[in-house]
Amino acid sequence: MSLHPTEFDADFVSRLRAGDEAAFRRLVGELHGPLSRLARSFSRNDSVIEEAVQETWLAVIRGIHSYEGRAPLRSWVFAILVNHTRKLAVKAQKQFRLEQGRYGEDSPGRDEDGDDPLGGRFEADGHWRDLPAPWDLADPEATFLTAEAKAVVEQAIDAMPESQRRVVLLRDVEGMGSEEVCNILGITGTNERVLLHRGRVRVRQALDTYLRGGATAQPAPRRERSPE
Amino acid sequence: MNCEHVAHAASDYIDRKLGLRGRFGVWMHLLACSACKAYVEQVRLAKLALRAVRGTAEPAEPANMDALMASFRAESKKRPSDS
Repeated sequence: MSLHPTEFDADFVSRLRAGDEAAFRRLVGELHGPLSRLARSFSRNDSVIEEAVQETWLAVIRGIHSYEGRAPLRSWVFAILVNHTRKLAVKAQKQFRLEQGRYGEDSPGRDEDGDDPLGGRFEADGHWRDLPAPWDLADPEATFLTAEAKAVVEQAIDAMPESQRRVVLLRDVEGMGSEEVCNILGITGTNERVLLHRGRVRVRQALDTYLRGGATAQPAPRRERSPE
Repeated sequence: MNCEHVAHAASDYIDRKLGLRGRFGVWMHLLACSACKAYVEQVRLAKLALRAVRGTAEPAEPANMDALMASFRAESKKRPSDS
């Protein structure tokens, strides 16, 4: 698995428009997983996620001819997903409340998560309470490519508040630029930076615990989220 | 600039999103503080570790790939002149 995301160039877009099936298959192959993963930050309902990703692909098929190339192809596809998933998640939520006859206090689409992963780590004068110590990794890249380390990182991602997880997935996992990510998610640059940093702090913490032998991660259970 | 400031600015420092003054402040602090130096390096490594989970743990293709390909084919036929 390469650490660098593929860019789809203008030539690739022309192939899609010309009906090149191999190109479309490659696009789906590359983006289907990341799209499902992002959709999961908007809803826990598996059928909502599936429907959102499905609709995204149909919208891509229909819309590729009017795609103007203002945003990179990947961003364009992700933005379609975010629109569809938001709509579907709100609809499913309403449906759920009607059925249950209750009105929840959750607020979908909230961008400030109130998370404070650095809280409690400092004295009043701004010094560390417990000093961070180096990890001494001979080859960090190789370490992070092991299944065990990946499981640690994925568990940390899953544990993040949703708004944070979205930013982390698009910025650091998918490798998009901040402007792209702000456009896709409709958040400000300041907000995006704060959420990204909190997410990284959580991942650093999880890795710290793991690398010091504090916790062995279970190789990730295949995420079969049952509807609650 | 103290350790707490540096810890909060770590991502902006790594991503080069700090202004000249902020960047210099962090840099000066890191020269003198090995704990923060370790911390900032670990945030950088966390970013690297996140990149490593790209494309994992997810099915590469939807279950109904065939149906999707059929839609793609049908749409392409509707626009034979497009290239």
